[in-house]
Amino acid sequence: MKTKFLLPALAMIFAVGMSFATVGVEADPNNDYIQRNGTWEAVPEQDCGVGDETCRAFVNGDGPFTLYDSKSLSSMKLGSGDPLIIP
Amino acid sequence: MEGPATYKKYLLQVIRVFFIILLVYSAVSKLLNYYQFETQLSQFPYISSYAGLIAWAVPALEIFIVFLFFPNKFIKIGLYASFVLILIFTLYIIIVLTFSEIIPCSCGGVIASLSWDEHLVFNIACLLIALMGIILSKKTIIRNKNMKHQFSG
Repeated sequence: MKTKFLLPALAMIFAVGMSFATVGVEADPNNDYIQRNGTWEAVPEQDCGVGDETCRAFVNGDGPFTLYDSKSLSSMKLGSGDPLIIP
Repeated sequence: MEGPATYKKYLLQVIRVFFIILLVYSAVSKLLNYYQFETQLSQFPYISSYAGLIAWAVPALEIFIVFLFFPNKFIKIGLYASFVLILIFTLYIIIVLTFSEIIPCSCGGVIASLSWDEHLVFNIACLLIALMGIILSKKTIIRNKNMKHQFSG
């Protein structure tokens, strides 16, 4: 019984808890990030609106760049899809 | 005193728990960030047109494989399935790193902080663990059959 059901069930519960605990944990609340020429650059936190489109922004006239919540390519921001302008 | 057979049995259980945690964590992380995951897949080279399907199919397949680890008799099938799934992902990473100019990331949770090269090393380690589990499960089944044969004979 212990190895047949209890051990896999406990492992499953642990993994579910862990994924909820780590979701969005790396997000920086004060900054967003862009990747310019392979290096990360911080920009002020932006409101991308509501939607499922990739959030993009023109930074100092360059771009558009995709906005990220953290320095991770998996933390891409979503929004209305209208490009923002960051001076 | 516990013999090597017992240690192998324990090791198989550890590998089983490892894959349950890995697959559940991966699947739930993808589902929690579903729209982000789908958008990232749509930017992936070669598979972008199937993004909607893959965004559901991968977590569903991962959860299905997890349930194969529950009954003892399906552990070996679960290990084979995990091995094939990780192998496909690893081959895809190698193809993307070798031939593609655009390299997005589509990994969930803590694993997302790994670079593609680190991800490749992580995947190869997982493949080796799955392979070890397959070998151990084969030996355990053969031993169990031999014991049954001895007792019946």
